[in-house]
Amino acid sequence: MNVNSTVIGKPISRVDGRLKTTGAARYAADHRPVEGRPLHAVLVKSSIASGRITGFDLSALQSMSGFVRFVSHLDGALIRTIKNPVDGAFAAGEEYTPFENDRVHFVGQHIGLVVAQTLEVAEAAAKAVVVDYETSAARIEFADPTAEVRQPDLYNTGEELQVSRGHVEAGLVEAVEIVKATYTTPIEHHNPIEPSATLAVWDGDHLTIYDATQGSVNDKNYVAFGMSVDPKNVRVLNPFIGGGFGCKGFTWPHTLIAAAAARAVEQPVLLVLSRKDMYTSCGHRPYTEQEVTLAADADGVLTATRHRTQSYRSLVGDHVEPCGMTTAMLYQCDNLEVTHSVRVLNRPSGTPLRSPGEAPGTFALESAMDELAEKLGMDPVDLRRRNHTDIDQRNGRKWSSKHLLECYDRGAEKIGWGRRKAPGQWRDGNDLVGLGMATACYPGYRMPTQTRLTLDRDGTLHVGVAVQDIGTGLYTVLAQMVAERFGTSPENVRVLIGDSDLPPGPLAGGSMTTASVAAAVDDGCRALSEKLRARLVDMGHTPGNEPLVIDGGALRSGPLSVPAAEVIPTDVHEIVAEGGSDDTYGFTGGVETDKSFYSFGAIFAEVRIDRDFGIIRVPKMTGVFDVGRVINAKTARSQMLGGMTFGIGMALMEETFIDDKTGRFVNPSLGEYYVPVNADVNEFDVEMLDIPDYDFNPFGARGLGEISNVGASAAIANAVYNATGIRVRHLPIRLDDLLEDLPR
Amino acid sequence: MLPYYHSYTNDMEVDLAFERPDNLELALDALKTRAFRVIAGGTDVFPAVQQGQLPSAFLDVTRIAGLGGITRGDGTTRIGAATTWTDIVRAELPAAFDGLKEAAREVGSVQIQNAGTIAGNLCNASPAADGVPPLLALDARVEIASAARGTRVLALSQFIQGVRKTTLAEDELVTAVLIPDQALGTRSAFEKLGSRRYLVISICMTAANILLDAQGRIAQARVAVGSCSAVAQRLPALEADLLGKRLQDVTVSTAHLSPLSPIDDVRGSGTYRLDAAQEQCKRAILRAGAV
Ligand SMILES: Cc1cc2nc3c(=O)[nH]c(=O)nc-3n(C[C@H](O)[C@H](O)[C@H](O)COP(=O)(O)OP(=O)(O)OC[C@H]3O[C@@H](n4cnc5c(N)ncnc54)[C@H](O)[C@@H]3O)c2cc1C
Repeated sequence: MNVNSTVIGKPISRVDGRLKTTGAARYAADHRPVEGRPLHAVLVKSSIASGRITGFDLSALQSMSGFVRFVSHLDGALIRTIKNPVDGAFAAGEEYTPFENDRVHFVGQHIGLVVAQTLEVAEAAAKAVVVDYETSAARIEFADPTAEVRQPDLYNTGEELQVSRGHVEAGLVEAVEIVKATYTTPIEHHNPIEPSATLAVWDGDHLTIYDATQGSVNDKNYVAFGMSVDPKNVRVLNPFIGGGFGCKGFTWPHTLIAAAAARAVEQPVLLVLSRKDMYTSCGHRPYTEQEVTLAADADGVLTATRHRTQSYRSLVGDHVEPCGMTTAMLYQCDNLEVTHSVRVLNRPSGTPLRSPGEAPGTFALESAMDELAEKLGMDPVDLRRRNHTDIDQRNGRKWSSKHLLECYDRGAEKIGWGRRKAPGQWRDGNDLVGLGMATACYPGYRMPTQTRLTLDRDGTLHVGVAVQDIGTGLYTVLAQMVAERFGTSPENVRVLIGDSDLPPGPLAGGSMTTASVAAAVDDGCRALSEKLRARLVDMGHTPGNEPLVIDGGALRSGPLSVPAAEVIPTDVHEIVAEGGSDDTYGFTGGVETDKSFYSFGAIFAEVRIDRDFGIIRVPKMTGVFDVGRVINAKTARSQMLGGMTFGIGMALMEETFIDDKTGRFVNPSLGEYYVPVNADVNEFDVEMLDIPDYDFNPFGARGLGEISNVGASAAIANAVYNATGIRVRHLPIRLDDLLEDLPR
Repeated sequence: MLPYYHSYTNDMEVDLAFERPDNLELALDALKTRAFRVIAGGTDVFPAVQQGQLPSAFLDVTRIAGLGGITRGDGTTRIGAATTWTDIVRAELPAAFDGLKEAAREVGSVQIQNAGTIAGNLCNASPAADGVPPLLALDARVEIASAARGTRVLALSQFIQGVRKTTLAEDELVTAVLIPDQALGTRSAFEKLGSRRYLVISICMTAANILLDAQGRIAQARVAVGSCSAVAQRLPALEADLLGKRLQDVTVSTAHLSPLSPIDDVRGSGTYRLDAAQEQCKRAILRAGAV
């Protein structure tokens, strides 16, 4: 079905904008149980990286007025042993059951919970718990020679992590130029502005949780499993989420702990993670070391590609940073080897962080492409054009819709690529100026989603689906989709999301929510439309073939116009229809298709470097993206701005330091973990080609978000090289990386 | 006086004295009786409190009469202890204070500047306190009062003794920062370097106070560098060498930086800091000197 409307694609302001800006939107920790007030909980976390807990000394707590209870593994089995994944869910952050035993696997592991009348007492009590440990040898250092090294087969999408085709050695022999270099990316944390928080309220064996989660259905199933109750008895509410970037994607121990504690004390429990807790409780992007080899013939055609990624995992979490997956599919190359290995370390668990794999992986791949272009004496954009392909290199399928060449052209034109000079040659006053670029790409994912469409007597439409708006604009996008199908305006649509009792939808990850709900909304609207037509016929009307319009309190079809209040039988308040799609794309067990679904883009950056201080500024970034149909130009653009800002942070600022001796993160606060501020962000020029991909879903949207920080750090790093002639192969690039060798 | 401070959860009252006297005598008397955590804007105190336990009593100095605002007379500019950075940015002051104003605009963000005070910045005694170099370059002195011993005044360089260490006794308050009138025509500038453009802890910052004679030669120079030693330092050798020089002849050598002993930390290496300080000194001097 074609989408050509006055609603889709329009830059409509967020329908929930007023609630958010006036403080009326309530986030997890803002909620209170209907009756009574919650007890406050604070986590006790391990201070050692490996060993056993031999005892807790709680003597200081007993005398604290307001102290209620200390919960730990000594309380017996509060939480059923988790198997990962449980039925109906995607994943938990860790393959680990909190408080199951006395084992400690990393610094910051949750080993106890204090419950108290107030937050202050809970905090004081948590500090007063004395933990006795028996420590054992910890493997913390990345290069620890005794660490177990694993070669995992599959990523969590089901995609192969070890890929080989053709003969890399043969391809190397054919080449005239070879780049072989190692790139590293640091530990990074998500740092959403809203920390994770859980309010758990039991009523008999029914549990309601207000949780800062990117996946209410996933959460419901884990908590139900862990609490040994029927999933029907668990309701997870997450109407507003203050950002997630992946750290609220899977269910983490603190949610289970809060639910278990609330059951143990027979009162609602509110657990809000501190910023410091956030650094060890819900994942991070692990450090990566990536060796990339690119070989090309004299024309710049790739003859061999090798991308070997080493990162690490914790003892209890199986996240692998899948850096090489982009490399395996992006450029035409018959001889390729992509490997991933992880070292098992006594560090907190990793988890997806905005474009897991793609973001650090393209830093390496796209930096190496820049190095190759330099060696070949070719323009970096030309090199990429030369290796462009219409076939997904992993599976030989054609792309459903790919307009990457247009992205290169538009981007180069908009940034003024023609101004680019040889490395270190462009000076402006005290500044060295440079331009750099990189390819961006991100898979198109879709997951099964059901919706409920309702028409009430006022003629208002309601759409319900258990997905969540983590700040991306989904409330607005859903309203637009329904409005478009019924020829009305988004104000006529009430959006119900953020409640696991609604028809199930996927978690907000992989930039897939819009694409997933698109198919479900389309089907739900069709189902409602059919029901309404049948009802009109029952009433003696003869609706024509024209699409059903619901606007101004009435149903119209051609010349026919009937008030909604008449259409809806007097004994009911509304007419309800359900619809959805069970199709999966991009994950194992997905729909059999001869197409591959990916979004593409090109990111260009201009940098200016102060010759005396090495300060790197990014006066301009241009991103041109081919992401299918854009449903809302404003919220889509905001996603891109956010992603490109993320790119600046990744390139120049973000890094979590770990102390290799103790296993502690050294800078677990926004005061010491730098992200860009407004003054660091200058001109962003974002363009979306807006070419629908109807093979993917009936709205033609492939979904977007994460793609905008893929390639962004490489574009900046390449611009830094162009400005200075200094190749920095690690992130973030700091002032003192450059200063010594800057051309003066 | 507010007897109780409500915990923000509003669920239960906690015992926490929060005194907010409106005159100095009451404040100083209170300090005799029990241990207080003195607080002004709270922008250093509250983050610190979050790391540890709440003190049992706060003494808020922001309502004390005479502690806020800037007055001039008797050869001195008197900046009340509780004067905020925003107050300083907005005050009408001679060009010699431009460096201090530039520093004021770089303390945290506008919200921080609205709450944070000049005395709070000095008493907190962070090596990276942006207020210290411009005040050193202005030859500032610190006025301190106690009920038992009355008022004493000492040079800022003596007041701050180390990382988070000052000469302040438990029963004392800072009441003002005193700045001697600067020679007519003195101008100043402040340079700050951080890992991002704004809202950032300084890797290195420099203030310069420069007076040129009629021939365009430097007649007076005071230069101070922060974040490159436990306490921000004046650079006397550089200041001496500058005298009689024209701006175009200004050079800064590593020997000039000998009072500095920068450390390596996550924000920058010691070597980088020294390099940066050298360049910053030059820029600050040139900018201060330029008409
Ligand atoms: C987000 C953020 C960013 C910041 N950025 C910067 C920055 O860029 N540069 C910078 O220099 N600082 C920065 N700071 C630190 C802080 O804002 C400044 O040091 C500010 O000037 C402190 O003033 P205050 O009134 O808030 O001090 P408070 O926190 O109220 O007090 C600080 C200390 O001074 C003592 N004190 C205060 N007044 C008196 C008095 N009259 N007599 C005796 N003792 C007193 C207190 O007991 C305490 O020990 C930042 C802080 C935050 C939270």
